[in-house]
Amino acid sequence: MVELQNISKRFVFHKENLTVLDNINFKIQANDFISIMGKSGSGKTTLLNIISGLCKPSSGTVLFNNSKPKGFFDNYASRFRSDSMGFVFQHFNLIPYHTVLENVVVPLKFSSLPPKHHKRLGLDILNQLDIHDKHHHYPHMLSGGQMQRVAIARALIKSPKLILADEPTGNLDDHTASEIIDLFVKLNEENHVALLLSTHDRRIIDRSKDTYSIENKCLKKVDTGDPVYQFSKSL
Amino acid sequence: MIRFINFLNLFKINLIRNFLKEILLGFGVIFATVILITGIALGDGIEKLFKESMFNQFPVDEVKINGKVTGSGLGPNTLNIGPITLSSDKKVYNIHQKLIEQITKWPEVKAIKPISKAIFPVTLLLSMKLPVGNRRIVIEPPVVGIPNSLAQDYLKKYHKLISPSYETDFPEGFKKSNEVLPILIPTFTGGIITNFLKTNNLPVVDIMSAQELLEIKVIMNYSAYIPTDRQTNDQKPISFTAKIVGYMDTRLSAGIAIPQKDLEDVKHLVLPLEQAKGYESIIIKLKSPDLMKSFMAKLLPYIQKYHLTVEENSLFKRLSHFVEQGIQSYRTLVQNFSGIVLFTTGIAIFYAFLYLFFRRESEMGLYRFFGATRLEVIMILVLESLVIAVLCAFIGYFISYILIVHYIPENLDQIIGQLLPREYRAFLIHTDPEDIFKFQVMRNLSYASIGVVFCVAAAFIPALIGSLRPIQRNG
Repeated sequence: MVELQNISKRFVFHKENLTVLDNINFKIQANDFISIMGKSGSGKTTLLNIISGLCKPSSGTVLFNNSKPKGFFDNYASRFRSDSMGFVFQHFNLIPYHTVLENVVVPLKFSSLPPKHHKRLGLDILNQLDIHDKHHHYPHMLSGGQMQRVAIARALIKSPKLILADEPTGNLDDHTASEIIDLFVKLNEENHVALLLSTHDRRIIDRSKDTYSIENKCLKKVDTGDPVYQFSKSL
Repeated sequence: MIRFINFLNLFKINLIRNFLKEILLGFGVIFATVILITGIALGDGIEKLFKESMFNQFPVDEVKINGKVTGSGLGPNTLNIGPITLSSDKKVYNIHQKLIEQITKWPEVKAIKPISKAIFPVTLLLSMKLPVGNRRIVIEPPVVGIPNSLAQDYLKKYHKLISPSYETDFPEGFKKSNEVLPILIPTFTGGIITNFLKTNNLPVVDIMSAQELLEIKVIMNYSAYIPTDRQTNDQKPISFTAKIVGYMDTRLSAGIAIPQKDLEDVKHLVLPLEQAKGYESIIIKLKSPDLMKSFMAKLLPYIQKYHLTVEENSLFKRLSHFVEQGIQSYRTLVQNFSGIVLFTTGIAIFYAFLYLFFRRESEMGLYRFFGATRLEVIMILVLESLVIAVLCAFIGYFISYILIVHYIPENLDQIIGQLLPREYRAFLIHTDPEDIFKFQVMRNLSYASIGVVFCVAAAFIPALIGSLRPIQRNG
């Protein structure tokens, strides 16, 4: 679905070249459930942004559906993002002055779906996630878990093949986080949505199919059955 | 196409939900637009006004006489050239005499009304004390004569208006004498003259509008010389003081001063030329309003001919020099002030919009995540600010229009009056203020667009940043 070939990303910071990611090769396929671990500042978000096409790599190639972007990188990525990806954020990033329903249908505003279908689709998704009764509320009236559900609903509205989530449980309490993780697992198993989650949450890592870690600017696959990993987990 | 409709839908929701917040900032745009447009128009208008005012001594091409000219002393067919002789200077006096000699030969002239020399200091005093009360004319020695035989009746009848204690205020000798009592009625003579003209079956235009402009609170003491009977040429004056307390309006005062049935008694004030000698100001009555133009055309060469002498010696030189300086510095002040206000308001608007839109930078980044192109992201904020700014600029433009076309011309005298020192708060405006304060549509539209540019620029910067770096705010 998305493939990264020899991707490197460098930033210039105070006239110094900082390499954040170095020679990353990575592939996401349909129905994957991948979690990415890493310390804060290790480059998880940058990696997600490169995958989503929001950030241009310094070198290397990003393939969307096995093809290189044609023409202007930005608009091609934008279309691909709009059609195939959904996003969930740690801080939910709901638009404060839009109602729940309006927030959920925002991605449809950048699509070619006729406006008359927006409301019905939005309510359907909210119904699936069990928060349809809040559709006319504003985000500040909701709890953290409810806001994340709305954010997930928004990510799902265009039936994406891939959902990218940047620490989706980072701002939630244990109980709510578990509910949200269950929701992700359900989406992966029943709706066959590929998931790529950057996280510190062991529960997500345990339930994901593959786990990667960013160490020393490189992406490494983590064997969760490895005794060293199990030991570090028990600490 | 459908994508564009969807985009407009989102834009509509954003605009409606943010409208109140942004329209509050828009008041800055309204304020700045009004300040800029009116400030410049006022500055320009004041200068133009000065150039076309009496201090330029009636330039032939610019004198405009129309049927609407009304007001104190300058009735529909009355021309007051009194101000020319405001100075008691000899040279001015001589000119006046020459003018009188010429004017009386002209067939348009019905009569000449002399005004006593003795009144002038008082007139000047009054013009100092009074705010500029009439649209077009302020200074003139407004005087009307009442035969003394009737004066006491008037005073008894209307004493509350004229003097609450006339018995004590007026000297004993006055009451007993059989003299003509000139009562100074500042700026009210327009009504009296009109009454006079009506009685004589002369065409008169309605002066109500001019009268209604004047509703002033008069609390003052004034004194006047009372010349003795002009027929006997006895110049021994009697002085008195009187108080006018309360609200007076022109209609009321004019009506009271000379009731129509008594107008016959006023006629004797219209003297033949030989009796007018020794007076420094005259009121010339024309036979009809239509004659004003031809009369003016005849008069102008004379005024121009003696222009230098007048300029050299009269108060006008001092006045005009002073007023010219004052008006120019006022123009500079108004326009600099407008510029400073505009600049600071512009910076404030820019900063406020920038702040407001920077708070939505993360929202812009979010749109990028959901498939918006950079152009769409930028357009969301830019269009939003454009709608608000255009709306506010239009409101500012409209307010400026009201101010320039209606408010300022109607209140011009007060505005100018405030600019002058008290002792000079009087002058004659010959040109219609409506002609001076032109609302220049295209120029003002370009001024109004400055605020729009500020707002759009303020929206463009955060929108551009939000569209370029969604990572920093959304990671």
